[in-house]
Amino acid sequence: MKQDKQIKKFAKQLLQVSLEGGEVSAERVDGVLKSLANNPPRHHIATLKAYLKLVEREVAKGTAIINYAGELSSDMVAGIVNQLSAKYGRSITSVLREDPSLIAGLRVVVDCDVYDASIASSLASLEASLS
Amino acid sequence: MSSVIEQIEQQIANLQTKTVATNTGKILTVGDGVAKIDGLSEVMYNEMIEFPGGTIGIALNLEEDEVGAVVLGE
Amino acid sequence: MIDLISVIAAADPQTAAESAGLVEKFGIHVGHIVMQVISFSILAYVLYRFAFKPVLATLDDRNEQIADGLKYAEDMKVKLAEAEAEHKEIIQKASQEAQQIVNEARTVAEEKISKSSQDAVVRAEEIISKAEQQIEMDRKKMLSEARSEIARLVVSTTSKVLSKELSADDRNRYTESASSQLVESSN
Repeated sequence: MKQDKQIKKFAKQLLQVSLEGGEVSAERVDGVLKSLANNPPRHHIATLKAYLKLVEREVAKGTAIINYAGELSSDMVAGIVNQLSAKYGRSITSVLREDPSLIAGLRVVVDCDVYDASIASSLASLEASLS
Repeated sequence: MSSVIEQIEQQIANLQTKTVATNTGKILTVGDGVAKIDGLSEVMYNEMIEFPGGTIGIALNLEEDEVGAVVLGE
Repeated sequence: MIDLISVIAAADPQTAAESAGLVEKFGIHVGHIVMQVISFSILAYVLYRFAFKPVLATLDDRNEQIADGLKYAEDMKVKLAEAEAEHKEIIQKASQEAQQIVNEARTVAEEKISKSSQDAVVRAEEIISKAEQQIEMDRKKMLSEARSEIARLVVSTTSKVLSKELSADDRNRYTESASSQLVESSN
């Protein structure tokens, strides 16, 4: 139990080191990994796992997965990214995925937040409201 | 029966295509009526959570990296 | 006694002579008559003293007894009448009470019957009401299920139709409007 806490604390510290300008920097992550390889801490694997989780989380916070149906112009993408950046106060990178099951519209996922503006979800909420 | 149809027509008329924003998480473990969830960054203490399938839960344990919730129902 | 007779005979020689002459005619001897009177008186007296008196006493006793007896009988009659009256009264009272008991019993029985039938009616109404409630619940349930089914059907149909039939233009227009409002229109 106490070990877990220590590992987590350490991983957090590692994360802090990996950030640049509040965002995960690939270089810094690289540096952290290398130093860990050279000086393995007591619970190497556990620490790495915890660190990985934290890094993934950080990355997810700055990534918008844009699921769309139909066509998505780069203008539209830029507009979305701007809106999200403004909302979250950090730079957001976009990942595009086509998803015909949406029928039309978009679903954008940023970490835990899901913005659904698709016909599929409208229909689903209709069904839910009637049953 | 006709009232049912009317209700449905009403709902369809009221349907608005707007963005629905939700805060989600990933279920890590479920067992003994307790679910551990990764994510749910906006959840508050005692807030109701909806699981896939419609089951409801209540967030009772807010930790830094996971949320523990009691599952109400099956 | 005989002296008395002699004296009397001697007292009135005239009358004696007259009467002797009358008497001789009719064959009545004064002396004999007197003797008879005297004997008769003695007899009467003796009879009276030793026969009539006791007999009379006895008769009186008897009368008295009879009178007592009659009085007794009278008293008994009165007593009997009283007893009969009392008896009648008791019977009447008993009869009244009996009648009252019967009436009460009848009233109680009637009440019981009417209460039972009321209870039965109430119970029957309860059963009917419960059945009606059950029917209503079933109806609501059925309608709700129908609504879900219809909704599911509508959504499924719409999805399929839109997926196939939505033109690229419409799709893109929808996507465009969605993307511009993405964050604003969300709460």
